[in-house]
Amino acid sequence: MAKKPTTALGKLFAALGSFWLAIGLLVNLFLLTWLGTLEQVDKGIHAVQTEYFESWRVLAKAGPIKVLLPGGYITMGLLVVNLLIGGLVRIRKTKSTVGIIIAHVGIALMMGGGLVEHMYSIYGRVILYEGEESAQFEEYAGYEVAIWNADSLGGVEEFLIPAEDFQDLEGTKSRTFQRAELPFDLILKRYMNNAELREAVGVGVPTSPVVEGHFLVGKPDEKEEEKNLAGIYATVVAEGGTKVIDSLLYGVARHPWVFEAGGKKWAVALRHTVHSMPFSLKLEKFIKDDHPGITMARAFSSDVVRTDPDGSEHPLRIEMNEPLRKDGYIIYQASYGPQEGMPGRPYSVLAVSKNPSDRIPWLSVAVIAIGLTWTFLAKLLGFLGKQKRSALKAAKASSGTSEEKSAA
Amino acid sequence: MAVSLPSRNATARPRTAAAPISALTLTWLAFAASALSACGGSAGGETVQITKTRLAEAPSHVARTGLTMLERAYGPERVASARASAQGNRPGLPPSQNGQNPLLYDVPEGWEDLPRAQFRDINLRLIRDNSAEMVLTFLASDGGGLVPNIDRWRSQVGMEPMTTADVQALTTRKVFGDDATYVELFGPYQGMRGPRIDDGGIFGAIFSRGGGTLFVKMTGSREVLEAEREHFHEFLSSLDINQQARQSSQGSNAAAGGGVSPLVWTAPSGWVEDTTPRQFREATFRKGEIEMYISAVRGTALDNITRWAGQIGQPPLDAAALAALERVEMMGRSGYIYEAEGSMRGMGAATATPGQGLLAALVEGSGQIVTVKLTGKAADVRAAREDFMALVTSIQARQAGR
Repeated sequence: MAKKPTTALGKLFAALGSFWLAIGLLVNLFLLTWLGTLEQVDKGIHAVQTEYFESWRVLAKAGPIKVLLPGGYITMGLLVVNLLIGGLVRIRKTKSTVGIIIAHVGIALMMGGGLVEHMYSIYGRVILYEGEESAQFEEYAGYEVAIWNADSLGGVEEFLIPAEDFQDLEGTKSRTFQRAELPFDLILKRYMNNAELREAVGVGVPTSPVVEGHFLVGKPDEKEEEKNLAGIYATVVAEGGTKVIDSLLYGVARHPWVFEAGGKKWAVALRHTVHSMPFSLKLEKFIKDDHPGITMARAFSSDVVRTDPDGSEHPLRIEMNEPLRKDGYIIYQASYGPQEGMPGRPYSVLAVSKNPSDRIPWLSVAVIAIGLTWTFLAKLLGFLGKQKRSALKAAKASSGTSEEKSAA
Repeated sequence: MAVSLPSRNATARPRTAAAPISALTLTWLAFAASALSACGGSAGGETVQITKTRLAEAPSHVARTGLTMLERAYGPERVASARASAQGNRPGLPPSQNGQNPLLYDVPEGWEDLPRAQFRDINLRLIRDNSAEMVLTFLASDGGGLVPNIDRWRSQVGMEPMTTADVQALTTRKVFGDDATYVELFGPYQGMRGPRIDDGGIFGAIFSRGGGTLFVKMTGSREVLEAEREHFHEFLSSLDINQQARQSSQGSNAAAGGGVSPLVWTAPSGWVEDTTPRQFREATFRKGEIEMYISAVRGTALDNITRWAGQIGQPPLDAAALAALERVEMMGRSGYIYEAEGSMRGMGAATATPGQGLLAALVEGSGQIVTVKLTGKAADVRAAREDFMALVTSIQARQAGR
């Protein structure tokens, strides 16, 4: 029998594990999902996911009115707490609730996996032409500013400024970046998540400062996040402030911004965030199997050679539904080029994901299945036992009545 | 999610009844805390140390110096290719090939529409004061940039280059429904040609779309500019895309296919017009066994005349030979006359026909050429020269004005 909490801490504990909190959070989760899905039509999945689920609060659009709701962080965070307290700590520990407790463990595992994925997973791609080899991949959407010595040949040390250090620099807000090895300061400002690079000619009054005859114009975000082309204004201050060079960094960059400072040439580029892999992949051959008589692909795969850090080489094939799994990385066959009918050398697009919780969904579903099976079986067996007992009781009662009648 | 069922015993009832208040309070407390925390944030301006480094097997981008920002973004080769293919096509506007003006416009009252000329795609002149002009120029590139061009105009009226404040103070007017930079500059005006106007000025608009740029300016004395301001604005507002030109350029041969030719001409008497649609031909005339046709295509004079020379078995021309050719006034410009006799090999013919003559005229401009070609037996071609020249000199661009 549960005792009524009397202390403030006890009441808080009870509230956090209460059934009604669970109901309220689930209703809010339903509202977030429903309203977010409706708004996704206009804003795209990434924007809505960020606004509704990767947030503390959201001004959700419910038809003509806007409703302030707790965001995904609060909702799911409290759900986990509620689950742990109500579903694991405060729940009655009896033989009949063992299955429910196991199922709750599975759900907690799934939510924990989701958190790990949200915090630590990386998704990107590597594009390889036949004969090319790479040990790195770039993210689909995330940006970084990379600085390196342009005089370097071969291996090069890159100094990286992650997006979270500059993506808040809207308008005239600026931030200066320094590094002991760099003979200059880099000032970044006017970040635009989606921008267009324009030449300053006949376009009306430029809305942003013109640098070397060009300027950046901010545009509304694309529905697909990977289509956004970021842009930012950059200034290099070198030689004790006597040398100041302005430039623009644009998300589309075949070549970096190159300037001289400290007697060396330096390169700066705004690019999709690049990650290294603990192995390299060399595309030996891209194989495309067309439907009969047309150039539409029925299946496509890549014959690659994986070279591990110890130098060992492993020829293997990456197919559409048979990814390569290695050291926490999963490499899928995602796309290819040139597309049908277009000229050019064939290349393969491999999707790369690094998700430490990749297998958690499988595991959690298995645990939940065990818990629910346990519960259902316990209920079934209990029901059957009860039926049996009732039947025996009835039979006993019936035989007793017969004996009485016989005796009478 | 907690799916623990509420207890069915009596003691649980008060707990569940009290819980909603606490749970709700708890949620909103967390909510308020998050809202407050979100109110903060960096105001920027600070200095940050770069802590993240990475050893790359090779630079992610190939460093090249001396590139413009567009070239950095898309590669110099691609930018050059885009600009080359844009020549004559004026990105964002219909092509002006076949001699047809890609724009429609209203000629303001009191102004006259002069023939187009180099860098004058629309060429208007004030009737009451011939020193006043209204000129529209297309460029398939940026033309040097907005600020340098306005500075160039300012220099023509004795003004200093713009300061940052001047740039910020620039105004716009609508052209094609979009913003065009608009300036009114006064001072002693000295254009590329014509006399100096001591108390003159420039009204100008610069508009860009798709990499191409349109410059419109009205020049003249201050008195004229002030008086004609409304006409200039009306002219800017009247500019529109010539859909007919667009359609004619989209089809490979609208005129031959039954569409309206961008050219007009006087048909030679005694010749029969062959109305069979033919690619690359505006009109075809026949007389006996000789044929004469008008064509308007993209290309250059040297390439085309060299091709004709090859057809008639003559050596190719070089620039010097081209310059030495007979000239003819054609569509308001100086055209070339090429005349040769020899063995003619038509397109796709296996053998050449001897004793043939070829008389052709060609005028070029903005990457486009208009040609008239007469072929047949050499004696017949020589005899038809007068008709040929009459046709050549009669050709004009169809007026695009409304």
